[in-house]
Amino acid sequence: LDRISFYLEDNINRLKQEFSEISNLVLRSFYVSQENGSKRKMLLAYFDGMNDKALIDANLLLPLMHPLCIVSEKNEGFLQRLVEERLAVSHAKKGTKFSELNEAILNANCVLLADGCCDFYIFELKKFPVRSVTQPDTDMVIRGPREGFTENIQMNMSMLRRRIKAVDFKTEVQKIGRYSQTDVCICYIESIAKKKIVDELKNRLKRIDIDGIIDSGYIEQLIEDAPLSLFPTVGNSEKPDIIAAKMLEGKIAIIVDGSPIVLFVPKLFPESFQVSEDYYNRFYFFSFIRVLRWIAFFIAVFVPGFYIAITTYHQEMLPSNLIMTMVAAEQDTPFSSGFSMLLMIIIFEILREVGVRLPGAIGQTVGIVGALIMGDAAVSANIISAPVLIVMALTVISSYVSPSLNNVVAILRFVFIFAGWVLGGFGIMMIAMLLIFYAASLRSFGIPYLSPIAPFETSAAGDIFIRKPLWSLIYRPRLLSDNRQRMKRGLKPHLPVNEGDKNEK
Amino acid sequence: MRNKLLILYLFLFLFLSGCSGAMELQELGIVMGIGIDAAKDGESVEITVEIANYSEDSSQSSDSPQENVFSANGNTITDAINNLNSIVDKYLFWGHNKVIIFGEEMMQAGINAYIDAFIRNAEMRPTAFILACEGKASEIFKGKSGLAASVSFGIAGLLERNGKQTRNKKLGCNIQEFSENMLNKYPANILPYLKFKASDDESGQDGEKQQEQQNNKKEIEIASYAVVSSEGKIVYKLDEKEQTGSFLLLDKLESEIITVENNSQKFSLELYSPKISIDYINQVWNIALNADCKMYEAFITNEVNSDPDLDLLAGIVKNYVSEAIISAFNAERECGEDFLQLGQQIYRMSEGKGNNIEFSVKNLVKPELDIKIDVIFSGEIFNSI
Repeated sequence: LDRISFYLEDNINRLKQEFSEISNLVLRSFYVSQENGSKRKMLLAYFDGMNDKALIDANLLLPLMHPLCIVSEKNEGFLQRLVEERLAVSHAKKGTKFSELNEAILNANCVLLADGCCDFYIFELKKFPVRSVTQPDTDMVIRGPREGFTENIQMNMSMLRRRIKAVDFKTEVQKIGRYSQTDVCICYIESIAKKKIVDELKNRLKRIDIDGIIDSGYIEQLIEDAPLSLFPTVGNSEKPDIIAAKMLEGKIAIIVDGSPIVLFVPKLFPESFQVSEDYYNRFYFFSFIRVLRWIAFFIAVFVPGFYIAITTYHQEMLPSNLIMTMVAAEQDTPFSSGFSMLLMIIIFEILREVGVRLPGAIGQTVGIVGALIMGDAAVSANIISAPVLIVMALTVISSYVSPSLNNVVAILRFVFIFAGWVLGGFGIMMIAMLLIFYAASLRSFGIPYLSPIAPFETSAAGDIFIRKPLWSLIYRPRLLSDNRQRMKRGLKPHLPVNEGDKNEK
Repeated sequence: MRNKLLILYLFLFLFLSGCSGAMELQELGIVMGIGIDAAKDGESVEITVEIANYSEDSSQSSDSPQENVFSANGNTITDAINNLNSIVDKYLFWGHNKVIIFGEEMMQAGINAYIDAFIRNAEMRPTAFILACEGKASEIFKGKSGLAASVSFGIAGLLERNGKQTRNKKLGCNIQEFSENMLNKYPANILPYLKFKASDDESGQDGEKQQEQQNNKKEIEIASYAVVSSEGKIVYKLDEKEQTGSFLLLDKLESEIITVENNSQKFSLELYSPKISIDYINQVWNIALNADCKMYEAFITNEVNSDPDLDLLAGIVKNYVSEAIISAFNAERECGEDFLQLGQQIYRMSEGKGNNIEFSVKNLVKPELDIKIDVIFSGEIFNSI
């Protein structure tokens, strides 16, 4: 029943029936002349706006409808002969089933059918409106490639392929989504990535049965190890250089058609502090910056809670002169420091949300009105004390140092504010300990989330809190890859050894 | 189920604790200094506290220093503090207290019992200095100390910043040191003794001093050091030479400027990080001292145009140091209290078995001294710079 009918009219009727009320389906019938003088009816079916019409006209219709085109009337292998002898289209695939025909049309291919044939040919002449390659707004760099992924999966794959020209670089495409039939591509380097992780990822993708995949975020949420966790266990990036580097480390990329955000697994916690630019520059400064990022993370999470704990419970911890200044600032404010801090952080989160959603210029205006005017007015009207505002500002700035943890930080900050407010330093320590235990218990595709910190791995330690010189990062992390050697030993540049010196030695 | 229980525990933990012990900054009266005097009205103790004044206009606060000084009487320190709480509208916070000053009468009656109350106070830092003063301690807070707006901070700042860099040789004794010394086998202490500076004659006052008089603020100084007996009573006041000798023997003197006059030449020498070793051999104290002396100033008149004789200078300094040490020994013998901790030293040297060794301050004899002083002279300037 699923087979293509011998009669073209039947096939046309069935197509019309299945694609009823779909306005942009084009069914173009035409005739080809045969050697015995008769004419054979043929049909081109495709979606308007998804195919390159100029190519269809020039490479399919023109050769077949040309007055000089006379073909053999033999039914057997009729279409195959046409494809082999006359049609200059690179991507051509034979099909015999009606379901294949439907899928091919839905996937923006052009299908050629002929009367008296039980098969058809699928030609790939896709042409979508695509966004050109631009610099993404995330993962900005001063030094390093500027290009970012687009919404087109083919283009994204080619961007990766351009960076990794190896037969080992595998790209496996599968369709996910009952209705959306979205192409999802797993990319990995076979000789580096662990087979166990690749298989696990394939299994998890296979499990997904959903109506549609609109963005890679859908996939991310459906394959996570700890779906209820605060911490993300699937990474993402908008830049091909980052994804290529991750793949060289043994990770697996997941490209989803229609999304410029490419996912990668496993994602480990220390990665949140690594930036592509760290590796493109000399190591001294960027080791320092790496340390700063860790410090900023702790500031962003802990400082508001600590501030409240110290001002409410542990006033003796502050130096005497500092507490005098702080009391002077706080004494006329009506609210407790905990409430003031909570208020300011909530106002900031609202401002941030507004700033992100509004168009650029308005967003900036709101930011200025909100942050500058309101903050200043609140302090001068003695509603909020200046130290609270300073702590809030420091926290907010610090939370943007590692953008991938931004959402986590925002939630954790609230948790620690409450802990500090209710239980003081003791509460903060308790929650911090719980948090560390929890993070240590997490796994991303079987890899401990805190590795290579816990379990500690000496060979990978040079790329956690600092970034050691590139020539000394010889090995890949043990847990990520069995093929551990990243580079040859002894790549540290040195002066050329003089022949004369050698002889003397 | 386990997760639900965990969440329940967390919520109970967070919300049943009920913010106990929470105290907002606005509610705190931060005590910076405490004065303790014998009360006039028959009750035993009068406590005076200096509380931080955080009015934004600091110039006003310095004009009226008494507005943040409060006093209350009570049978005990705790009772007095309790009474103080009903005068001050804020929670008295002791965590930043810098000084505890005892008045003259208190010092004569003995202070050990009162120190105990502060050791037991959980908020009080063990680094708060204990001082003695002339007259009433409550009067001290009406004075002025150094550049600080608060008397307590001024005194504490002076005692905290003693040492080489500041060339300030005012040593303090904090709660911790005081109580440790009181637990020694031969307990005694030396405390800084505060006094108002004697004002100059009325004639020839310059503008600044007149202003000071108007403000009614007298300068406070650490005039000498009081030796406190095992009962916490004041028994002796050290003069300057005895102070130097005591600090040398207690190994707490880091720097001392000594001015030497010789043949109408004046020299300022700094005794710099003296290294002292004290031994008790055959019932005689052997004291070896080794120090460098840096020449800071050589005031040489034109008539005498020769290089200073360094050996001669070293001899004079050596004499000075010897005299200081001997005077400290004499002071100890005179007051009968082991504030130089010599008895404790014997006890320590015998590894805690010092019970058999008889030590008596009354029997102290002149120590054997071996003092080596090197004077370092930076050279003579012949030409104008």
